[in-house]
Amino acid sequence: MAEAALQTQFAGRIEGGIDAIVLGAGADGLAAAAYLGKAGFTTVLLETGAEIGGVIQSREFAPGQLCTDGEHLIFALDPIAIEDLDLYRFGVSYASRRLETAYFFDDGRMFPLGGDLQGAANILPDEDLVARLSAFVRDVFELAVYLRPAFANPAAEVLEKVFAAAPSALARRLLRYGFAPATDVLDTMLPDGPVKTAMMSEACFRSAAPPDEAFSFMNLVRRWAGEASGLQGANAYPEGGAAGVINALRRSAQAAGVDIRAATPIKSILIEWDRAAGVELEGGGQIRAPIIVAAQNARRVFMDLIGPTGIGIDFQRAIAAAPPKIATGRLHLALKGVARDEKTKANMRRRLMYAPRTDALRLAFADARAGNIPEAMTIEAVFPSAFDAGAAEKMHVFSIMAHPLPADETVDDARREEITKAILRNLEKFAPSIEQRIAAVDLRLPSDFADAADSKTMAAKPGVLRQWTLAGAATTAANISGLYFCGPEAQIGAGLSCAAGRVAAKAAIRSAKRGVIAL
Amino acid sequence: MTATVDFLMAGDDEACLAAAAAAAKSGARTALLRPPKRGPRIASTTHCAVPNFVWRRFDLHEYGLSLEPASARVTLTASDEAVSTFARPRETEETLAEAGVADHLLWTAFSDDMAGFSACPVLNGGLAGARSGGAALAALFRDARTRSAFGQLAGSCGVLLDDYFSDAKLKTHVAAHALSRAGLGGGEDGSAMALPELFAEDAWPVRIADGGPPLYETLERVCRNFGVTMREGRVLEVAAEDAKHRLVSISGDEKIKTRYLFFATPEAAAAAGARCNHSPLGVGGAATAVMRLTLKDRAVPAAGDEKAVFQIADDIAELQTARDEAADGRLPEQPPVEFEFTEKGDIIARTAYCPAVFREENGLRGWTGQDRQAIAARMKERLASRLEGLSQKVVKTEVAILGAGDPERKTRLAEDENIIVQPNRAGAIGAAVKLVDKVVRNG
Repeated sequence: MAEAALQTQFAGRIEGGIDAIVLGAGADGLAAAAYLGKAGFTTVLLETGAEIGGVIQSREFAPGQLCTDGEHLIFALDPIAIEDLDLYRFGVSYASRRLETAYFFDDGRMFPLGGDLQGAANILPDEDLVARLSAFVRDVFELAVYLRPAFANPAAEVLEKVFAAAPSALARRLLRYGFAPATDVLDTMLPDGPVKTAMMSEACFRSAAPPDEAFSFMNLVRRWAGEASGLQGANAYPEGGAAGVINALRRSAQAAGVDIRAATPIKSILIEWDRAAGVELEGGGQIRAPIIVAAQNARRVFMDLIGPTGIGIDFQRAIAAAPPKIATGRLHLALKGVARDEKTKANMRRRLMYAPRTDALRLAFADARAGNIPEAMTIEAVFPSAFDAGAAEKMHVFSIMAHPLPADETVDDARREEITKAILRNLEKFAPSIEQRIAAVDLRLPSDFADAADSKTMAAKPGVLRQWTLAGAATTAANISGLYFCGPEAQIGAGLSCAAGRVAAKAAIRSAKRGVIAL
Repeated sequence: MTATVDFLMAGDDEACLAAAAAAAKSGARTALLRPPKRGPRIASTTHCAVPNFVWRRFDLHEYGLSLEPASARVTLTASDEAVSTFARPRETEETLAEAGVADHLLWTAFSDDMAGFSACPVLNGGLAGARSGGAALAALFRDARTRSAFGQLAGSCGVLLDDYFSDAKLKTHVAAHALSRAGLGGGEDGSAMALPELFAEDAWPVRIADGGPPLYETLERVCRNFGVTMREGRVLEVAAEDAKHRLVSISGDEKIKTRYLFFATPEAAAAAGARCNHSPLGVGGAATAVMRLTLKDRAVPAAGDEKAVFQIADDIAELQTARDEAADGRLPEQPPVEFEFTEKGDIIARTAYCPAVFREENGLRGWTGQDRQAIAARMKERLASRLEGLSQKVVKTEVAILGAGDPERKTRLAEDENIIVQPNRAGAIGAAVKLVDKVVRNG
C-alpha cells in the first residue's frame, strides 16, 4: 500500500541537480562512478538489482559456507584505477599475491610454475626447456605490455595509434600472434611436453576460440598483459575474494560522494537532439543529467534502453551478433575436513590448474560448440577458505572454473547434474577421491543469471581481434553526445578489470572540461 | 654459385605459375622452384578463376587457351536433393524460387553485400606482403565501416549466413563452396572471410573448354616466355642474408639469394615448413586429397550438368566436424567432397579436410599408402552416395595428397615479411597476381 502510494507520488517527478548517472553497479560501473565523483561531478549510480557488484556476489551456498560468484582471482585489475581510486586505502588487500600455479596432467604428473613467470622457467630441469620457455614468456610479455593501452581502451584512434606505431619486430609479432591459432605458435616455440600442454590450456582458458582456430593465441597475450600486485602475468587472491575488491570500489565511490541507489530499475535512456539527457525510471519519474555512463550489456543499453531507431544498422548487427557457443562454468564445493598441517595448507594456497591433453582440449571445444558436455576440460581451482583467515572451521570451500562448456540457454536439473559430474570427473584427475569429501555442491552457469549483463560477463570471449572490433563499435559507434559505454562488451579479455569504467568516465570528464557537454 | 633473384616462387600450381609470370613481366628477376615430380599431376579442369586482367596481361588467347565459365555451382545435399547457384544472381533467384527456397529474394542482396566486403584490407591476400604489419592492422580499425566489416569477417561463416538465410540447404551450399578450398569449418571464427571471395569480381570458376590446352601448361609457357628461371627442388632453410635479401637453401645443396620467397598457396608453404600467419583462410594447416576416377560410363548427378562444380555435404555442421577431425590428426569419417567432370567424363574430386600429419598415441606420423587408400575409399563412398551406380563404373583410381606434412620437420616461423604466403584459395590465381603487384609496388 505504502509502496504503491510512493510510486504514484514519484511517478511524475523529475530529479535535477545531477551531473552524471551511471547505470549498473558492477565493477566497471562502480569504478566509473568513483572517477566521476572524484572529479567533482554530482553522480548517481543506479542498479537494477538489490545488490551491487554485478556478477560478483557473495552468498551462502551451504549452511555456514560462503562462496563468491564470478571471479575468484585477480589478474587483470587495472593498476591505474587502483592508484586513481585509492583502492588499497579503501580496502583492496591480497591474502596471497603472486600465486604459484600447480599444473596437473591426465597422466598424473604435476609441475609448479612460480607466480613470477619471467623467473619461473629457471626451476625446470631441462636447460633447453628453460631457454625456450623463457624466450616464449619474454616474447609474449613484450607484446602484452606494448598492447596494454589497446586492451584498456578499444577506441579506434587508440588501436590505430598503438598498431601503427609498433616497432617492426613487434608489429610482425602482433600480426602473427593476432591471427595465429594457439597450436601454431606453441608448436613452434615450445617442445612437446607438459609445459606446452599447460600453456595451451592457459591460452584457451575462458576463450571461445579453440586451440586450432584463428585468433586463439592472442587470448594468452591479453591475459599476460594483466598484472596482480605489480607483477605481470601473475594471479593474486584478494582478501574476501573478488567481493573484497567490489567493497573497496564501493567505499571509494561513496567517499567520492556518489549516491548509490540499488533496486532502481530504469525504463529508458532519454536522448534529446542526439544528446543524452537523463533516464526514465521504471516506476515513473525521471533523473536528468548530461552525462550517462552505461555499464550494462550493449544489447540492453542500445536496443532496450535507447531503442534501435537511433542506431546504425552495422552497429545493431555488431551488438546483436550471436554470442559464442562456449561458456565457463563455476562450481563451488564444500569439502568435509580441514587441513591441519602446514604443508597441506601451503599447497592449498596455490592456483591449481588441470590441463587436459591438447587433443582432448580440441575435442572439448568441438563438443561444447555442438552443445554437448565435453569429456575433458581445463579446470582452474582455488581454496578461498585456505586464504581467508578463519574461514575454514569445519569445512573447506573449493572454488572452480571449468572451461569449455556448452552455452546452454536454459539448463534443467538433469543437465546440471551431468555438467557437475563432468567437472568432478576432471577434478578427480588431480584430487582423487574428492567426491567422498563433498558436503555441498553449487554450480553456476551463465544461464543462471537473470540479468543478461551478468550472463555475458561469464560467457566466453571471442578472439581478441574480434573483441576489438565489437568493443570499438560499442564504445564509440552510437554517436550520442554525453553517453559513454563500459558494459561487458567494452572489456577486452576476461577477469575483473575496471579499465573500461575508467576509460568511459575519463572520456566523460574530458568532454565536460572541454565544454562539449554543458554541465 | 649462388643465383640472385627478386622473387623465388615455390610451388607447383597454377597460382604459383601465374605469380611467377606476373613478377617476371613486371621486370623482376624471377625463379620458379617446383618440387621434384613424383608421379603424374592430377590437374583440375576448373579453376576459381582466371580473371580478365590476368587474361589480358598474359595475352592468354595467343596460347590457344580457351576457357568457359562453369555452368553452375551445385551442392548435392542428399542423394536426390541439390541446390544450384549461377553466375547471374537473377538466374539463381529464379532457380531458388522454383525449388521453393524461401530465401530466394535475398540472394542478390547477399551476393552484393559479400562482393562489397572485398574492399576490406583483410581480404585479397590479406595482410600478406604488407610492408608494415602494424600499419596494415591499424587500417582495419581506421573507420567504423572497415572495422564493422572486419568484425563480421572475423566471425564465423555460419553466423554471417544466418544473418541472411533461414534455408538450411542453401546455407550448406554456400558454406560448402566457400570453405571447401581452405578446409575450414562453418562454425569457426574467421571462416566468414571465405564468403566474399566466392562473390568477388571475376571469382566465378572457369573450365578449360573442350579440346584446349590445360591451363597449367599454358601458364608454364607464359613463364618461359617472360624469362622465369625454372628449376626443381625443395626449400630447406631460409636465412637472412642482409636487411633485404634472404638466402634460401634448396635440395641439391644449392642456394638462391632472393628478395622475396613467395608461396601462392598454403599447401606449397606447408611443404616448405612455412605457415600463413595473418589470415584465418591460411590456418587450416590441412592437406588436400585429389582423386581422379576414370569411368567406363558417364555418371549422372541429380542436378547440374557436366560443366558444373559440385560439392557433396549433408549439412553445414559436417564441414566443422571434418575440420575438427583433420585438426585432430585424423581422416574425417565423412569428408565433404568437391568434384567436377572432365571432358571425357572422368571425375576429379578433392577434399581439403585432411590432416597434414597424423596424430597417434606415440606421436606424429606422415602419410602412408594406407592413408591414401583410406581417404580415397571414403571419397569414393561419398561420390557413390550421390552418383547412382558409380562403383560399377570406376575402372581406375589415382590419388595425390597436396600439402602433406613431414612430422620430423618443425614448422618454422614465417615472421619474416620477405616470406610471403598467400592465404586465400578460391581466387588464388588472380589474388596471387595482385599480391605480386602489391609487393612490386611497395618494394
